[in-house]
Amino acid sequence: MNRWFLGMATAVLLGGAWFARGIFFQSEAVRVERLLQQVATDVSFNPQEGNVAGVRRISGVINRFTSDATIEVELLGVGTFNLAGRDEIQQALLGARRAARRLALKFHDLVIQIEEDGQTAEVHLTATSEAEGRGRNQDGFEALEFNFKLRKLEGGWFIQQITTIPTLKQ
Amino acid sequence: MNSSELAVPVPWWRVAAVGRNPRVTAVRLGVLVLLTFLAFRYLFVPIRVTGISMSPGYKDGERRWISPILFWWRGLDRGDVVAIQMSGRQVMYLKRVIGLPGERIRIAKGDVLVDGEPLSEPYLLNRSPAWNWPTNGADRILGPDEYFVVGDNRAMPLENHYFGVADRKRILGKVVR
Repeated sequence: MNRWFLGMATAVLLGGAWFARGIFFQSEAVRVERLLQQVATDVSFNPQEGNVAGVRRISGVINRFTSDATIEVELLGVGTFNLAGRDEIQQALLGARRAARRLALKFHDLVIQIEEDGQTAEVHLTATSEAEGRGRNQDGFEALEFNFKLRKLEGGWFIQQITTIPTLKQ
Repeated sequence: MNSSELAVPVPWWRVAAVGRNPRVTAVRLGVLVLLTFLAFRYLFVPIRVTGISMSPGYKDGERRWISPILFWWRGLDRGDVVAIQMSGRQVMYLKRVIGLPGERIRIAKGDVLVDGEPLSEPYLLNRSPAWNWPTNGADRILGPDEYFVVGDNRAMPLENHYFGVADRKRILGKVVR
């Protein structure tokens, strides 16, 4: 066994240890990222999905928000809308399902900052949505920047506030 | 019997995997990885166009290249198409630079006015006379690091078209092809 083989084996072992560390000892930033990616997956839907499954997924999303959560979103061609509390968010999600046949929401480029107290976090991200409307010419693709504020409650992270960030100034 | 007669030949699979001299191969590999990283980060960044806001020149699904280094080296000219960063590099806006720092900009009935003069825009297929900006009727004076950017598809309804003023620090580079 020569030095070269030992070096390779050490590198493979170190890589494996680093990978295992990511699985067994998740950092708070990784937990926040997984939560948000799960929310994006659960908000998305397709025409094959049944109503029961859809409602169950929306309930899952709602449970990721704090009871006093607020959303302030400015959508192109739609205007600004504000939502406060889980009920209003749930109604908005149900309304989106009624209005569109398909929605694919994805979060990209997450910049996660865990505050020093370890109980609050802020995430800057880009969201893309690809929607297929129920009528003609209602399909659309949109990309927007968002700021998410999260709070840690009983060991888990919950979304407290979502606001759009204007990429271009007026 | 001298030492060269005792030398064990290197197995073919090891030569195929790491070369005759592993140290040289490692250095070559490192240089290649570094050069590839630098090239795709600063020289030419590949992008795929999504949406119709830059049609007819840039079609949905087309692949293009952005050059950050050309932007840093030569700056921006009116008419350049630039990529504007959002929270990172995975998703960016692609827009055309219409107004440069310090200029007065207004869109009146679909015509862009720069310092009060109408701008010739040969890249447009058509424009909607319903486009008026800013909505308060006054000119927008650009700051020292501000660029006015807008898409080429001005036939779109104004309210469905995302455009405005971009800070220099948000611009990643300009389209080179």
